[in-house]
Amino acid sequence: MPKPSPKTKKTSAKKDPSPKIPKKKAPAKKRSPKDKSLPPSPRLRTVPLPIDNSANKFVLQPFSPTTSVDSTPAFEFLGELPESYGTRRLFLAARDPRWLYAYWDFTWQQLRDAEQESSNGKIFLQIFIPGEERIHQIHIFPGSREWYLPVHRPATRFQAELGYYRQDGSFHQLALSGEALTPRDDPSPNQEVEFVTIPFHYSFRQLLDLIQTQMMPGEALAKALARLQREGHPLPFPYALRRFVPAGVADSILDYLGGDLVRRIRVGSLEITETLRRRLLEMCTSGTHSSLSSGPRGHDRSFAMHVNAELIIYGGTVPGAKVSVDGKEITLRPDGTFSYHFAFPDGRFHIPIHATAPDGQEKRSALLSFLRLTDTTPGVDPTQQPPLPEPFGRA
Amino acid sequence: MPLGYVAPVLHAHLPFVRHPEYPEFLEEDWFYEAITETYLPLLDMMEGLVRDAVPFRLTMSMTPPLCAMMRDPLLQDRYVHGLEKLIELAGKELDRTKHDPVFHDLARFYHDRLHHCRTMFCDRYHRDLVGAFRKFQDAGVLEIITCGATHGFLPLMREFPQAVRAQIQVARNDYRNCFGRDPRGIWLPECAYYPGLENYLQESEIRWFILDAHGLLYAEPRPAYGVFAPIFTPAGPAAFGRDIESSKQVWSAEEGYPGDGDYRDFYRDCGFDLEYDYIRPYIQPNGLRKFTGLKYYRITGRTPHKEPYRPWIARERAASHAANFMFNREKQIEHLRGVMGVEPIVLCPYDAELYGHWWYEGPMFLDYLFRKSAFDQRTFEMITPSEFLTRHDTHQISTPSASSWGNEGHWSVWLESSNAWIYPHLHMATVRMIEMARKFKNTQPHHLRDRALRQAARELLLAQSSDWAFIMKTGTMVPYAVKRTKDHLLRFNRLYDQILADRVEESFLGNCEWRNPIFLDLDWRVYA
Repeated sequence: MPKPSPKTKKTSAKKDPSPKIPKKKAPAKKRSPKDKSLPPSPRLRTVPLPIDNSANKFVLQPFSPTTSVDSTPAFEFLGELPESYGTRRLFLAARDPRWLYAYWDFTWQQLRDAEQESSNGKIFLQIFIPGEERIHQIHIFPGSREWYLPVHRPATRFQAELGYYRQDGSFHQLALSGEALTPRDDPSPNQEVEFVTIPFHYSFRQLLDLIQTQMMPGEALAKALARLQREGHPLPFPYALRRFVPAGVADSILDYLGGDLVRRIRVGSLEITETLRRRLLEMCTSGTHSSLSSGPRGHDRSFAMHVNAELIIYGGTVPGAKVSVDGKEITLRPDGTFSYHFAFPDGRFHIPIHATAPDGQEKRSALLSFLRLTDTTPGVDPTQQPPLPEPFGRA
Repeated sequence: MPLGYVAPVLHAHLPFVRHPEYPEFLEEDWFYEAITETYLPLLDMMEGLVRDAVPFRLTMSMTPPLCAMMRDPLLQDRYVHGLEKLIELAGKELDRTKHDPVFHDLARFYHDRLHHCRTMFCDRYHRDLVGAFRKFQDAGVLEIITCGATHGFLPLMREFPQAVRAQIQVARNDYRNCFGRDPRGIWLPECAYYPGLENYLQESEIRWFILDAHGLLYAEPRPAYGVFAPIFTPAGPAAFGRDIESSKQVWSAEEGYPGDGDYRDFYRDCGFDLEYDYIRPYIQPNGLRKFTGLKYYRITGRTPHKEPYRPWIARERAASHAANFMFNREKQIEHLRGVMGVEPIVLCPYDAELYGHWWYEGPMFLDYLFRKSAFDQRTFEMITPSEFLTRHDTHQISTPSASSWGNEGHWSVWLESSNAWIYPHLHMATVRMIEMARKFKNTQPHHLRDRALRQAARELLLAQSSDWAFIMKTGTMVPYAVKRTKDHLLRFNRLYDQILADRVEESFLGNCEWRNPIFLDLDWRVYA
């Protein structure tokens, strides 16, 4: 659209803050001589103007869109991972004091073959306590690859096996997992206290070398040091003699922490940090603008309105000319057009615009004056930052 | 003599996100935002404390992926480019707000702040943030500790000792390259511990690690002093427990400091608030809005209506919260000293990126806390765990309980329906890496195969990053985490096939190296 230069456009608040996809600029219509005779009569459009991104009206400096990647980078898409590898491996993990997790790496065909070899056409996942009873027996299908198993037994060692029943009733094992130990979920009743001195300036290697000949098979470093210190074995560093903790200290500490421990078990110890991290990720990645504690577009159930305005001055001259807006020299686009954008609170404003020809020989000036007066009914707030413009247009 | 000690610990970590194959990549912003809002403010804080001769001690984990990104020239260039654009936007904001004194002052605030960041990053530190942090460690006020090589979730690779050992030894070697010494402490990825893990730490001469409170409180036998004294694990490394009370004080959604109405609101950001065409050059190339870091509002309250941010008032709040935190630690330590009869240590670990990035005034809070603790009280002393173990080298022996600092305290964040699919693939790649390392460890050196083996190990390590499973669990940005996991595994599998067939495709290998240049001198034989 051909524009006189300079001219102004007022914007006001609009509901939808989401970015618009720039639409292709419509071809300009020629004005008839009759049009020219009509007096300019500003009025509010009933339909918002599309955002004319190609003109970049509100940008002080030339807008250079980011280079798009024309072709897919080399080795960007490498296919898909296989569904399984067929290693016949069974993995078991204790996810927490109450749940086990198992997966098995069998192909569909391997499981299908096993089904056919079984007496009843079924494959089972079994969970047991080594040397003791079976806890779970689950019929699995060739399509399944994993299982979550409730055990509710903290501090217990479990093992899993996958297999089927033969005709003679014996269980044929296809795979056996390693052992998985569920963690404790309460303080240990064992209150034995054993102290050891481990000087910080000795490396573990030095300490191991120092006591190597005195260590018992399978004895860990700190355990061995504690035993030697208890026995009064000479060592090249001072160490504390056996220390006792006064009765009741451990219970007092637990009492002190008691309330928090209960809370931790119920809601998780780092729920808050995770919530924050999750929110950070949401904020940083999705481009969405959800908010937990706040947000300009939060759900306020009470009826309200907010409104505001900004001012945009834009125009053009010849490329290479110098233009100042309100005393500030601005950068022109290569085609000589410019724009200037600022907040428009209540008040009276006079904005001078000067252009100087590239050779400095000629000057053009304009003075634009504005007055904003806001009068609202109760319940109307200023929009804190105006979103997309809904401009005045000319018929 | 103080009655006890306080050890603040910040865990600084971001996954390795670097995409040279694209001119801009949104997820790299995690790193750039953290530089501007967390790492530079923390460095600024330490500069001030050292300049003013304030005695303080801080412990920070700096994970190998974070250090690799900090040292990467491409990311450094992109950070400076992004900072220049923000400075440009801040300059426009000065003009846009010139008739509105409240917002004009805020625009000035950001304008000055961003210029200061540029001066620090480019002129003072010459883009070398690792070197900047190292300087404070060398000065004796900061202890930097390591982490798993790529923040791999160690309990779920327990069946593969080589994989656990690789995560720890590769991290230790990387630490040596970055900081010129051996790490003495480690932040176990996600604080995830299982009994026996300490053996690998002992191998790498790592003297201590941190657990969530229940990891220590449920240790076997029961630690007499709870989380207020470390325990020695049977293999020798010490375990420190997280203090629940001080964590809650900072991070509780209800009563935590960062929710104060005078603090800056994280969510109101010019990138979403300002008129589209105006902000268009500063958001995503595809036209979607994003955070710019210019945020003009304070939290105000539990209302959608937000009032303008007032930095000077927020600073006062940070000072008063620091005083409150210090007072509570004094009372806590007085009480604990009475009960225990020995000096307690209160260990307060937090995600570093939450200081400054999410809680904008967090670095100010720390600054005031260090200053007030140094001059306004005598009950406790700030300390690092290594210093504590130097002064106090006698402790109870106990085996901690399997635990993590994730929701519900164990593995359920990283092993559930959204992310469990990754483990068969990760385990298979681990088996294959071990197979290759054993096969080739004693063979004649072969340059191309050696490169391929090293890259295969890199791809495996990067696939193991716990961040991907975490993102899948949280349900946001899942496609990126899924693609990263699959890409690393697919690259690994292709390299595996090529290495075993003795037909390494150099163009593919070179592309992998170009995309993921981390652990440049990685020794793949660690998997043998």
